Amino acid sequence: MEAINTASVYIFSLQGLCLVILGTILGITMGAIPGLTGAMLIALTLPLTFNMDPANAFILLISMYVGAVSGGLITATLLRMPGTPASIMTTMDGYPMARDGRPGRALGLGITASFVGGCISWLFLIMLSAPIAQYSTKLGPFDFFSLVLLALVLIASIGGKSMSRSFFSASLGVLVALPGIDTATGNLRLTFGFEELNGGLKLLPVLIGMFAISQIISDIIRIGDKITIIPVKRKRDMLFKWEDWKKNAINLVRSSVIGTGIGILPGIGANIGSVTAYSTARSLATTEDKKKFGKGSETGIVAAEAANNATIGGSLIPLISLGIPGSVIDAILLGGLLIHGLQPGPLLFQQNPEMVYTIMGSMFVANVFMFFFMILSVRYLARLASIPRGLLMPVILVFCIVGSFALSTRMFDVWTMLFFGLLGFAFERFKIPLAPFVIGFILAPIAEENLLMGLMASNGSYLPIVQQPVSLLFVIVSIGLLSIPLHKRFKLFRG
Amino acid sequence: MAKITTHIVVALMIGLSIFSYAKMGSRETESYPNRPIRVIVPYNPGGGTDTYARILQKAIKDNNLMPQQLVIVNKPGGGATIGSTYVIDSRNDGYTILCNHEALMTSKIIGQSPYGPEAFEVVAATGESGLAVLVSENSPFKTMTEFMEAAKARPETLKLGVNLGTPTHFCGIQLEETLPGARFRLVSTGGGANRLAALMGGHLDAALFSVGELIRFRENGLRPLAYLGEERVESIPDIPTAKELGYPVFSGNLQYWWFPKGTDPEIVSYMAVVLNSAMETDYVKKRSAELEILPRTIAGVELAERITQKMSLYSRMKVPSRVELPDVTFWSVAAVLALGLVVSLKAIFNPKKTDGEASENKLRFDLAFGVIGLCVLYVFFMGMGLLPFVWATILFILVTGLYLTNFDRKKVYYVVEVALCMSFGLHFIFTQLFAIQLP
Repeated sequence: MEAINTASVYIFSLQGLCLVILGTILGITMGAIPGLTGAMLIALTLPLTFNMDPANAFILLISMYVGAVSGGLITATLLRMPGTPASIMTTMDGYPMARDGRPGRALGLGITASFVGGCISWLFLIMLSAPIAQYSTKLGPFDFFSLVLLALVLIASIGGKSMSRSFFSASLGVLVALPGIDTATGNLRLTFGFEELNGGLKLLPVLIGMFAISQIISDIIRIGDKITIIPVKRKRDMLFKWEDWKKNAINLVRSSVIGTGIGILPGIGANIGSVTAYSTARSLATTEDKKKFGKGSETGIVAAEAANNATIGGSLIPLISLGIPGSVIDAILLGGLLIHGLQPGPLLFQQNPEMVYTIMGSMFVANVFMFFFMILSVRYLARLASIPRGLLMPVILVFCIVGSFALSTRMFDVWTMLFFGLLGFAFERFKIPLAPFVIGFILAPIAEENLLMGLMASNGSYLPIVQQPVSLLFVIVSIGLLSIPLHKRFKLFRG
Repeated sequence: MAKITTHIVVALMIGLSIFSYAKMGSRETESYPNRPIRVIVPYNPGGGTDTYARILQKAIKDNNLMPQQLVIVNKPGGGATIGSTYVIDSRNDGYTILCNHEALMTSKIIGQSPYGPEAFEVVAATGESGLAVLVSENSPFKTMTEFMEAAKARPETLKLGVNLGTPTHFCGIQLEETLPGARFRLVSTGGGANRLAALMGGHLDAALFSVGELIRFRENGLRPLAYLGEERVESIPDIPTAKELGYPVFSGNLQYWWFPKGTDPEIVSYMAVVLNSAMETDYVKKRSAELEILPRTIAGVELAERITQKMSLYSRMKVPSRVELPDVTFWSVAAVLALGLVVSLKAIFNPKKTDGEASENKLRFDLAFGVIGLCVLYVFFMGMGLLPFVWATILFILVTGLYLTNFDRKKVYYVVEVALCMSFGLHFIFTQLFAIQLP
């Protein structure tokens, strides 16, 4: 109880509320500008939070997370450009509806569904985190090792279009995580004599490079693209009426639960959640309703937007209770927790319960603020998409460079960041997905540490991987996922 | 109207930032120290060393023990070798000092770092904290003796949690040496929090924790067996020392302060006096008691002796893991090569049509590479120290902005505004609010 009080003092102080407002607005703004993503915003903000109180830092970061996943629906609806990858499915029905003269209605559906999805997943977050954290102490090193394997298999088999490319990307991520001090021997490995590499490649420069720089390069290449926005005139039809609630209730709940579930699965996040909920909604729709999908179906917008916001709460569950990130943004947040000296997992609940409740509370408050802010200002937010790129890009580049420098005040990190920016761009050109790389990069040390710890405890025997029930379960699920042929898997998750 | 107001606000902000920039570096006095002294902490903020360095920083500032302040700079990573190397390479003018505990010695011995204490001028060692052996509450071991005898009766079965290559690891080996025949199965668990989770989950039989951790974690259902120190700790008098029980292992670890080699001895002794008087302050005593750290200071001859003694003690230890471990590097490289081969073969034999770029316009690769080139120049100029941050940033934003807006006359004004705002603004935010030194 005391911790909840402390957390609410943090959040409801003037400073806390300002951070929620700032974070949500920045998140929505970045989400609404195509080409700028939430992952980029959060990676760039992280260096700025080093000197902040950890609670304040996380109020800001979580609000950004909520804002960024929500903001994408604006451009998805009005421009047919998903502002963030999470809103891809919203373009399918949002844009046709807006084009047919009901942009306000389309936005209203999306915003309300986002809000409801956020709230439902928040309930799961507060109910499930503590029991899972409690249980997680029973998980041994081999269980964690298998869990990481499962995460990699999940993202490679469901997240991307080509499994070999996804696995290639993940294995490169693992390789990039290796330089530095060998966990087993304490000796240096793969540093090629660079003393700067003794500590390994740092998380932030790699992430800023992969997500921000590579995106900027792609944006610059397409700088000539013309942008036309559908203007929103009538505001009144944005709010839900009683019939709307009645009609969409089941869909809202179902899509939110799907989103939360997908969010909990380690490694995959908002875009997969929204795809899955969308295809489920389509397959369950009446024949008459089914025809409307892709042409401006209300059910489709609601499903996609409820689910992508629901993944936020879902993916925070494994992050705070196990220290395993549920999505790319959570992976960055994990880095943030570690930088602030906080170890996610059961101990976080015991040692820093106020941090846990601050994270949970700020997600809720940010969600509420997001709803009101979006309803009131969505008409103006759409114009953000027309900010001249030529002004925006140099500013973001400077932020990237200063942000990676500030981490440990050395130029080496800046060069690293630029290198990974080019690598990320190459990935995109060759259609190799980025997400498995990042998940591999972040989870590899966790997997290695646990494997070595397990082997030291079992005196060198690998058998416990298939002898311990939890670990065995993860292994079976991974093998199962790998053995389903590719086209069937597509049917399963993409409809 | 609104537009004019915005411009005025922007102009004011720029003016203020320039003012604060110009004010810096205009003072210069004679005697040491005449500017802030940077303390390099080779660990993350919030860790043990960082916390202690910040306590001393506050004590020095609040009690005016020095005309200048200490500024803490965290350079984590590489088992603290990154921060140490940075200090070795710094100028030995007394304005850069390293704060690191005995990991500086152990990392030399296990080969992580080519440098040990000999590469520094040691100033003082402050604040002693020791390690203790803990088991879970429902463990069959009630006393240290039972535990050690079990390790002798069943060698290499009892799992003892340590952190490889750190003092916990060395203490584990030292414990074995006190009872011939006793052998543990040393399990590397990483930092304190992970070790606690593993101990609570029943994945370890016992583990080594610092006294501070012991006091914080004790309520989580843990039983301390012995404290590895010379005397019992005041606040936990019920825990016997290992020495009393016949296992003389001393784990005392202090935070050492190191100047780069060749620093003026007068500066070294000045700093030692400042640190010593900081340790005497009530604030340090109070905070040390809270963290279960002995507010002790060692300096001069005694410190030199201690370092020699510790180095010879540590160098006797055999370090490598006793279990055959997989070659992670080999397997990762193999996986990358194999998968890379699969991907490229698939791409060659199964070429997909490019699914029609959505853009009607020409893709501007030239522009992208131009901007990357400008970035490289920008970073290069700052990295080499040819241009300070502010000027480099103004130039970079001006050139890049004009380049990307196709030298559009109408936008020049905005580009200039953005350039001034960003450069001075960021400089102000980072140096004044975050105390981060920009190039």
